[in-house]
Amino acid sequence: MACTPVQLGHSLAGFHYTLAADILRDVETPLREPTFLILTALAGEPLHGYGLITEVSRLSDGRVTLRPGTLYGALDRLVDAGLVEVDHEEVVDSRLRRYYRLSEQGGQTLVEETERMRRNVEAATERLRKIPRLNEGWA
Amino acid sequence: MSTLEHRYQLLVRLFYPAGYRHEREAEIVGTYLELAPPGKRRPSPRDVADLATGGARQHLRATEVTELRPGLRLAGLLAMATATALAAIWAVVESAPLPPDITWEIPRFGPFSSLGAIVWAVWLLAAFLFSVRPQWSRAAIGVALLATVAVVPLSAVTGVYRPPLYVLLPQFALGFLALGTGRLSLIERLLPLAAGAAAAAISRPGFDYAIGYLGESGTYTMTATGLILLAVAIAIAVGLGVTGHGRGGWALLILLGPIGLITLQELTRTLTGNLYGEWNVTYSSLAATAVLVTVAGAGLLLLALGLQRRLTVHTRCEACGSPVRGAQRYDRTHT
Repeated sequence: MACTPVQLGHSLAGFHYTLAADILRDVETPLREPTFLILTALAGEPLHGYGLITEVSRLSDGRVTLRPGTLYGALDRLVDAGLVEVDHEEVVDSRLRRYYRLSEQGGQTLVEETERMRRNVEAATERLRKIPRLNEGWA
Repeated sequence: MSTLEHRYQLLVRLFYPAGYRHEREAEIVGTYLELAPPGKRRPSPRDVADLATGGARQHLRATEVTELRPGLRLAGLLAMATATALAAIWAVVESAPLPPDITWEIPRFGPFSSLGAIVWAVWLLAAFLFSVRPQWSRAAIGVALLATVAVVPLSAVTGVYRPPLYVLLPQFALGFLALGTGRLSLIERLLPLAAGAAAAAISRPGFDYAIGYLGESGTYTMTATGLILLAVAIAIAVGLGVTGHGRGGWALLILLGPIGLITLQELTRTLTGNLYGEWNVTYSSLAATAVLVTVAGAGLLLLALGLQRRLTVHTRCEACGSPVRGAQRYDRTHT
């Protein structure tokens, strides 16, 4: 069955989550850190729940530890918003593994979000270079 | 099946809705088992809390939370606007002088008629922070709620008058609801201040003397405020409903309880009135009406949630896993 998930407002980079915007989208921007890390983890290859949790932990140097209840809630939101899709399922040691992948729309959102963060980092770096006492250790 | 697996299954069955369990139970339990260190025999308290939170979220999702959550935010915004309007009106009342025909001594709180002056000042400050410092709005509303409650024992200790409970109770209910507003645009955040300014401007000529809480003027103020809030909520629900959005309807349902509390005196008069137009508004009848209004409001909301859940079809697209809710949306988005 061909499938077109609901696509509303995701091209509006920087569109903040307000009451007026509620109706348009389920996933707010800027993305929260766990959401950003989930999308980043899935940008590499399709992952199942356990793989996602360990990859998010690795990407964040152990700062962000997702628990399954939280992870699947976040995945549901991302699937609803069309940012993540189910890739395939397999059974390993009689346990179900469902793999998720980044959708095209999810990839575009991640690109926009990364670009937004990159611009912020560049702006902050530029300002910090002008403060000598904070500049030690910078390249 | 191991003991640990069985215990995780029990927790998933305890916390998650049936439809979701059918779809995700094996996946959630499997992930927990993969994360469990060797020798683990029972879920940790953090696991239980995680599953309880995740389950509560899914119960909300099962009732089309995409409409309920915006409804809660809208109701919170309208509640904050109403709470600010009432605080502005009562602040006008507090600062009014005593009637000249009262010659006996009445304990006053400095230039104000009661301790309510503090409460309303805190509420107006909360409305100001709500508009200009949204990151502080929840803390400010929390302090205002605390002041609304604390004024009762403070009055008992000091012997200084306070606003009556039928004024404080709806204010608390409105403030509690306002905690759920979340992030708003600037125009939305300015609405409570605009409502407060308008209410103060309209009520100023009407309260020459500090008798506003009691008698007909107090009842009229509360009833009018409740009816205005009801009319606005109905207008928004109808307006949004025409365009196919349900959040106005949810906001109206959420606000019914607080509206009942705002119009408590008039409702009690109606419930206790007889054919001769006489009523019996006592402390007990007011308390009974407040309980009735709260239970009826919560009951209607739960009934609507239950009906919504029954009427909504929940399936997922076999190809991509996207949820498909209801035949109409299915036709529009899945071909």
